[in-house]
Amino acid sequence: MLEGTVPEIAAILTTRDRGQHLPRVLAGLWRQSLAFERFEVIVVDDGSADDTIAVLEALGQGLPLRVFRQKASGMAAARNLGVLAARAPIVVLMDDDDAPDPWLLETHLNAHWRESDPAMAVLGHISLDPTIAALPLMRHVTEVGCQLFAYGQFRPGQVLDYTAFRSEHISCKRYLLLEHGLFDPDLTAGCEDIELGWRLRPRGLRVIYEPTARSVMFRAMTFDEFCHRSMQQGRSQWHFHAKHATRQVRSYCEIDTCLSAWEREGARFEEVIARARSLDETASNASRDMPLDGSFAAIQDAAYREAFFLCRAKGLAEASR
Amino acid sequence: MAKVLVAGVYLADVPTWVTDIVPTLSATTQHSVTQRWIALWRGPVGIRPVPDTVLSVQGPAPKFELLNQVLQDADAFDWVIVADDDVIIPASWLDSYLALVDRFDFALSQPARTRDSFIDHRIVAQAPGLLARRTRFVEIGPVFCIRRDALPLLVPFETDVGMGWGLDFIWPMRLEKSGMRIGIVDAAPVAHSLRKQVQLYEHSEAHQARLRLLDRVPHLSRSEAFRVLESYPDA
Repeated sequence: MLEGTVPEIAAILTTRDRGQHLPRVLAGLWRQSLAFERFEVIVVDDGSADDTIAVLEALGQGLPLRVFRQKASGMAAARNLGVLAARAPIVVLMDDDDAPDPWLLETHLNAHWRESDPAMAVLGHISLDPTIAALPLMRHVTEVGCQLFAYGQFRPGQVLDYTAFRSEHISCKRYLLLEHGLFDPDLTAGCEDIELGWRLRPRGLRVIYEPTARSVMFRAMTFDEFCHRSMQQGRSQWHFHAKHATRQVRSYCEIDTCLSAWEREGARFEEVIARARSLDETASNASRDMPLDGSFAAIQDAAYREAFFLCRAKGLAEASR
Repeated sequence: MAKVLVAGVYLADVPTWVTDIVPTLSATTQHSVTQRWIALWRGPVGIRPVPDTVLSVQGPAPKFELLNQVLQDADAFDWVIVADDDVIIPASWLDSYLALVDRFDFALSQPARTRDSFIDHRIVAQAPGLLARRTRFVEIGPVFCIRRDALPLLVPFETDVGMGWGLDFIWPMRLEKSGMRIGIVDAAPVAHSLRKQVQLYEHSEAHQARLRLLDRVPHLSRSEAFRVLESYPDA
């Protein structure tokens, strides 16, 4: 036989230029409760120009880890390569700025053992590291506006639809993807996970929320990064809708709301962004020195909400032209 | 300069791209190419002026048995390329393709399929950002390539396999046992977009033949076969 025992579960980590973050991710994989022969780690490097490969070589030694490389082609292509490279029958997709809890892989594995439904996926939970949780922007996008995570809306064990097929922390049977759909590499701006979820719906996809499968996001995003992310999200939502022009997808992507908002408010874009950025700077500085009162937080949240929505509307409107 | 044998079956009385494929493959400047095409007629055998047609038969006829007839001296060639008639092969494809399979030491290989192609097994779809992948799977069509040293392990093709279904789960085991590598070449893809698979023959018959074949010959499971073992990034 060419290869030894087949592992039970594969952690698929796709990354680009995050060499400085990988030590913490790899440390979490080192601490997994599962014995090394029961899991594998597939890292797909999407054309990093930093020290990613050196970090993986140095810190991956001893882990059941294999590295695959591709010229920068986007996360969808990288995830596909990871899924195809895996030996294990269950795959967990992970982000490169999330540190896995020691029981993460075991919890996913147990969830799949409990239910053998081939079309079941398990959505894990990502919380914010305490060092970034109090930052105004991170608090807003995870607890108030929920543009990044919306776990507060889910109950443990709840069965969710395709929109919860979120590749930053989800597991499923490898077979499901091999036989019924991989990520669309043309969706380079994002949304490739939800688009795949949409295609897996007719195959009976069910996403179950398992909050005890935990990882911790430890990279804080800046205001400008989140604006960029929101614009990319708008673009990708347009492409998702262009590919599946149904009423449901149109509604999920808020195509009409975004287009009309951009037509109505687009002229104010710079002003809206500048105001939100200024409030973000004030809030960030203040949160280091002294807490701000609740009314400021409410103003701040409204400004974030408007700015990120308008960024998404801008991206979507530009993609639609 | 390598000696290359191209063997293929074309459907003589339905739309086909064989008339484009033949000159494209002959246009190589780096290799010596011999082409042997078999015309398969659904109606009475007629005359169709496709160059390099060496055999005309009335169908239905099992593709891999027909191919055996034109591969009897295959070991006189460095490479054997088996091609269907419903692919678009880009200009200069042969030269770049053979350079890559040689570089990555693939004894059995095939070009990835462009993403607008008809695709049954997702592993064969072109992967962006890669020159090639070492895999455990090379599909029986629409194009595959065998290096001379792998020929004794694969050719002649089993005579009871009909349309060849299932061979692609047997080949990797044979070649791996001999220490040979197989792979899919992403940087030299072909488009398989003229007609969907299994349009011109019986699905159930091919499926039954596959079951009979896999029942008696060691093979990989689908999960074992649909694996990438190594990736070779584009520069």
